[in-house]
Amino acid sequence: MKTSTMRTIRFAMLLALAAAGAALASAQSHPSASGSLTVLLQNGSGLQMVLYSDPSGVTLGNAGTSAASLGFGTVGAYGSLATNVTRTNGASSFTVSTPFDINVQANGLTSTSYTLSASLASAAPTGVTLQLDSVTLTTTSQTIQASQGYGSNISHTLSAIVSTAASGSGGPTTGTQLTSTIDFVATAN
Amino acid sequence: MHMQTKLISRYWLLACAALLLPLTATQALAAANPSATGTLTVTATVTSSIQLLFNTGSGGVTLTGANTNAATLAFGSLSAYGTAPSNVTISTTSTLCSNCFVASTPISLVVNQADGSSSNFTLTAYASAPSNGEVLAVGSSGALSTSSGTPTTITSSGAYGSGGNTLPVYLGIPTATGNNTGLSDTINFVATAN
Repeated sequence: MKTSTMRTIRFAMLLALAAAGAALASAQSHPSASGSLTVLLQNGSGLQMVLYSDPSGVTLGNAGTSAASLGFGTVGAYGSLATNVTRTNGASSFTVSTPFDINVQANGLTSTSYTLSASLASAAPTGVTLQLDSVTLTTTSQTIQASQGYGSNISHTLSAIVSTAASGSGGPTTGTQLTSTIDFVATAN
Repeated sequence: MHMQTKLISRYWLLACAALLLPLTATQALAAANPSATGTLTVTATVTSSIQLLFNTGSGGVTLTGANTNAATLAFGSLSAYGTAPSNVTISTTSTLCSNCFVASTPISLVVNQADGSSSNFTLTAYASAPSNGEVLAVGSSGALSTSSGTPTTITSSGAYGSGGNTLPVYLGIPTATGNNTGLSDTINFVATAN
């Protein structure tokens, strides 16, 4: 066993010397130049998420991108609301809702569906609870839809549940614009 | 010689591992599910608001459109003498108007408040112009103004909440009104948070 290994090594070394000698001889007889071209192909596989206005919802700011904005406008338990904002009144809160669309495109994948999860970038304003498709959003990521198809606008309903308590008593600050950011992640199944 | 063989074997192992490591890492990355992200910035401005609703008062005529802000109170057929409709009181001695008789029934006026800190509200009302000299009144206000610009104050300390505020509605009808004359009047209420 030991002898055979050593023989193999010796044979490999001889081959390498022979190849080097042949190359040297060739270079001396016929000068040449060589070059190599390495072609790199980046496979563009991946997902892309785009947010769109829903035909029945409010018009999004920056619709058609992955960073849009949705303005409910001025909301109250009673009185008029912005177009395409609906309201339901409860005993100690009211809920305003509007739909918007998410479109996730897949490229170069065998996956046929994705899981949509969402979370709040920071805690919701006092007196306000945000729900996406009836899932109460928190700063912890939660699954909104486990098996959604690619390539079409999927309607999701965003709701803001607003306490009717006075500001300072658990209710929201009134008269100033309240802002929350929802972070979405679509993951190929 | 034995030591040399062992060393060579170790070198081979290391070389193989070095070659395989990047390959394994690439495969692991390729196996991870790709994902995409998006952000939606949500804005809203909450405003305090109040709501006015009419309900049938205790012992009063049943309102049509109760629990809304546009109800109808139908007194029915009224006469100065004779039997008054159910839940309607007739007075021929009221000071609301002269040469008239007065029908009355209580209603419940509910004002709800949301996202506000007002402790009560002021209620004003005005009536439509009379067609046959009739006079309207609510609570103890006396005859209602018929001008939207100068409504009559019904109360300056109305209570919020579903318990409501019981208010009698008075309709004074001149005794000279013709038989079977139909009367239709509208009272416009405005509640303002104090």
